[in-house]
Amino acid sequence: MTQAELEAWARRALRGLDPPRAPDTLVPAVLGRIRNRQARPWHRRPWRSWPARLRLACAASVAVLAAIGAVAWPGPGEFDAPALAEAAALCIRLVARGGAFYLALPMCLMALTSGLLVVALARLMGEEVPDHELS
Amino acid sequence: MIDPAEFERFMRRHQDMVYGVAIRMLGDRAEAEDVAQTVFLRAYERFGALRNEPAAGGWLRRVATNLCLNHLTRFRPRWRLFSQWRSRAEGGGYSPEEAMTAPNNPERELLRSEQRAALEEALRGLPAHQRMPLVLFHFQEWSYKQIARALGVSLGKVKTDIHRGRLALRAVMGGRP
Repeated sequence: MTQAELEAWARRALRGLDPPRAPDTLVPAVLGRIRNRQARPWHRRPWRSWPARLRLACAASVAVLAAIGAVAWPGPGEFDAPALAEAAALCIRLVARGGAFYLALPMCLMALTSGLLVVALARLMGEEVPDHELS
Repeated sequence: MIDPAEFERFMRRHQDMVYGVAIRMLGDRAEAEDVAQTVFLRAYERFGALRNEPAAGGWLRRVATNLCLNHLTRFRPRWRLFSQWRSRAEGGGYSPEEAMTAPNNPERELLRSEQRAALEEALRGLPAHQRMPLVLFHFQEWSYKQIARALGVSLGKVKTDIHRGRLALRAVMGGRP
């Protein structure tokens, strides 16, 4: 049997197969997982399924924190660790008071990372980054 | 707000296709069901856009295929690199031409369905490195190049694996390579 004949054989034989039948447990299992997911509080669901207002608030907070981070982040040689720690703690306290303490750390980290990125980009582009005292 | 009954109807309409993609690519019922569940959970998240989308089936097929490929990548070290699969060709030979063109009668129909089941099982029994490219080529109609890119292997390996997979199926169904 040549390669072409074998390919034609496989094509015919496989085309004749019916689609395998899904197990009866599939649909109930998916519906059960959806119900479990919906029973969780909003903060334990995927971000996409958060209420729209909370998603908006979260995105706005990240943007604000990123902007603060970009402006307030000290330049090289001016790194003031205690002041920075104080500012981070303040951010965490503020967010925690909003009822979402578990969000504070990742959000602050994201904000600080974004700030660093903005500073790095600004420096790369030769712009002057304003230095501010944090304390 | 998603109507659960509507989503259930949507799932029932597409479940065989989604599960079929997964079982043929992965060859394992539990893993295939797990992948199918994940596909439908993703569909639920974007059901608002999918519910009236005529191409929803294509979207589901693509997500199922990608999840199977991801699954494969994640568990690549566990791949059986050498075929552990033994030919079960002791039974009579199989002629798909005969089976497809024979006149319909209950005995012939039964024989044909048994042969299909045997072929389906033989496909599942292939080692993953042969089954995956074979399924992508014959059922998803991907080109050799697309398969090589998706699996991260050379074009030559894809062609060889597909050829060996066909030979193995033929050996089971026809009793000869």
